[in-house]
Amino acid sequence: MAGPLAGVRIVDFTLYQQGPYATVMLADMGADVVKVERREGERTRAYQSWTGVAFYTNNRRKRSIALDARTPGGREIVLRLAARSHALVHNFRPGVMERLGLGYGDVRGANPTIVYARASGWGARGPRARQASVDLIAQAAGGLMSRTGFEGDPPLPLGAAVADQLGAIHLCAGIAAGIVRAARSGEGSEVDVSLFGSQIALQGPEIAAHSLGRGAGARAGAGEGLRRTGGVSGAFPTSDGWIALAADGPALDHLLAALADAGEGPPRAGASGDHASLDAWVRERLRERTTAAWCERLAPLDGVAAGPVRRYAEILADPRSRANGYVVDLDHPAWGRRPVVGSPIVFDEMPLAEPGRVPEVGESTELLLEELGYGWDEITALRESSVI
Amino acid sequence: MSAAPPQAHGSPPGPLAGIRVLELGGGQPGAYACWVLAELGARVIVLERRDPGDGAARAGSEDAGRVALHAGKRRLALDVSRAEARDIALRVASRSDALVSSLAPRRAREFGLDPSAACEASPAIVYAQATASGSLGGSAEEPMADIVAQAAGGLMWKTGRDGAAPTAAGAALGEHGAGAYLLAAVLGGLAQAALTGRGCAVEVSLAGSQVALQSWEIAAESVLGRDSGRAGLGHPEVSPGAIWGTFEARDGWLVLGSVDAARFQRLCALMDLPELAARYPDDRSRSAGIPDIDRVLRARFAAHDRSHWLRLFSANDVMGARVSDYDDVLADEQAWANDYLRTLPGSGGVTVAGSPIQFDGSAAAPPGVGSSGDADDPASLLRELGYGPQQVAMLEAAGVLGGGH
Repeated sequence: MAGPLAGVRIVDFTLYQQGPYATVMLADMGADVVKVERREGERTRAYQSWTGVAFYTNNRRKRSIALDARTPGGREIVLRLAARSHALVHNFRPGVMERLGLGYGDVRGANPTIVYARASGWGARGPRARQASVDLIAQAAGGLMSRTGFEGDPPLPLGAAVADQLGAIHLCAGIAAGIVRAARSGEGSEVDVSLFGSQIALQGPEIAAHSLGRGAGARAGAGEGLRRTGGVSGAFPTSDGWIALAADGPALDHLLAALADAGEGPPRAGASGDHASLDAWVRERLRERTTAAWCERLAPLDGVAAGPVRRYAEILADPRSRANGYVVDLDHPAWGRRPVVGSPIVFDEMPLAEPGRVPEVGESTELLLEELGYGWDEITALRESSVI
Repeated sequence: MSAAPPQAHGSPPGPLAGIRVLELGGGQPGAYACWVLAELGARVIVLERRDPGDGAARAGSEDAGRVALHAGKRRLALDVSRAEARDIALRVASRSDALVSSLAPRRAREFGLDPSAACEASPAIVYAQATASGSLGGSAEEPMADIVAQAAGGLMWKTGRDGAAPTAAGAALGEHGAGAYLLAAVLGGLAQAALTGRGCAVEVSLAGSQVALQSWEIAAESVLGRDSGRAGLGHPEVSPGAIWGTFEARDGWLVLGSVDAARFQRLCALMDLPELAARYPDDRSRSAGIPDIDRVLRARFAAHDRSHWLRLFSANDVMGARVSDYDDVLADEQAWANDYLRTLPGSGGVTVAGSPIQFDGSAAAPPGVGSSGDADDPASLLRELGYGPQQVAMLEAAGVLGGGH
């Protein structure tokens, strides 16, 4: 599958999670992403731990060029890469790229229509603009932790680095928006996407409700605190596990009728004003059967959303995860072929089937230099002077 | 009240100036994606379903979420049982670069806007659709629900403490996480259209988005072949071997993240714990000593308020932050400085989020008029679509239209 961004070229300076995940999303959409690595390779490449897994999942489908960007020759290669690319992405703090002679002004000089994108912690302005950040810091500062958990819990972080991911998704979107602008108007862009801003955007409606004095700060619990309207919404225990359910309006009546066929009816049918007694009745009914039995009974009801609370192993084993390209197999030199997460974005009914592979350090250095017009003598000289 | 495009307010055009988007209203993922598109300068028209007899009865039923996600959009409610309404929908589609729907396909068809009809109306259109679990190997018609997506994606079992019930994210991560992926997908499609003139269809599911939000953690379990357990006060993969977690100071909670060797030495000095620094001089010993370090830090943090600790940390490049509640967020200078928050004009002081995607050092396009959730003027919108004054009057009289509701 070529993908909608076939022919789009990205120069990728990013490390860790937010930047590399944004550019692997672009690669999954078909872009040619050139990962610029230091000559020794990114430090986490060889790790046999979770950091190694992060490298492995975030750098598939990319090409690697290894060079020393601190040298004039290395800088020249980067500028020549940028000159023929649609976007350059980095996640350094303000000043780092400028010191390398690769700030927006330098790169725009080589390519006036380029999208110069920065993955940032806090945004380009404000008192914390120069401070570093990571996923947990953003989850704390954006308010999400204060809402996650049950009443009486300490503030809880999510069980995954979701703030990094959301920063990455919006970064990918911002780069694509800049490419749209460049293609339509010939104008280049500088774009900043932060972890902090992405956290606030995610919670825009909740924050607006709070500013209106509504939604009084309830913890989300098992989902009951997220309920926007009447009805039933949340995760409930069954006889053998947990089921998540959501129904309101006419669907709530279908749900309550189906639950009642296991016994007597609800306290006040459809009483959306009294969540506590309705929830208690629903909870009692749901304990009478297995999760699978309830899913089979409830999911076909019009407007009722129902499904199990799953663990990762169930997701990895689900044929539907495979059919939609959400789970794909990736090869690793040490770990072999393992299922990993693909893309949730399916273009033209063609799911991501082939996740690509992770390049060796500098695997495409010479090929890329040739594409840029370097001759063999020049390439040899660059190698001998330790630029590449 | 008429709704003018954002450009008319004197702000610089955003990167998506000139891009027109049709949102089939009624779902949060699409509303989220189109909200950011509007923030970036796209003109978004939301078509909503208006059932016969609707109108005043539903006035005032709008929740703050809808207000927040309708900033900068224009809205038109249609009685889709009428052929005239479907004609209006088709006219909007014919002028659109993208159609974004988080309605079930059968509900989109009620507007006359399935993918082939939309593509016929606008050949290079990006037809973007959210589904519950992915239409391949299943049905695209399944109802979407935030909590069911959160449950399906595994995050509820990773969040929270050992032995606790499955724990939801504190916001609508199921819907808005999918909305963020949908946004990226629409923009990928729009980039293709701008570069090649080709349109496309694209689908993003809520469950698939939840899985993708955890790409690293799910891959870690798959590759390393073990379940790392739940996050508790940190992260299931990171916290067992690194300082990465939530700590209680004398007056509230703060977090510490990414404490490498150099930062650990500084942290110990700032917290007056020289013996701790000496006990764990390198990465290996520090990683092995996490339970002990955690115990010492917890006891020490309780001695001072968090402002004391965080002032020291921020001056010395140790990554820490207070755990903010929404009052803290609304008062956070950093958020206002970057336009991540703004007060909605004409709303009586509602604070809404702004785009996290900031172009050229300034906000792309502030929300336009009509953004507080009030009814747009349907007549002016229809005139823009080419309907004459008499036709507009007939459509209004026949009950085909409604503004907001």
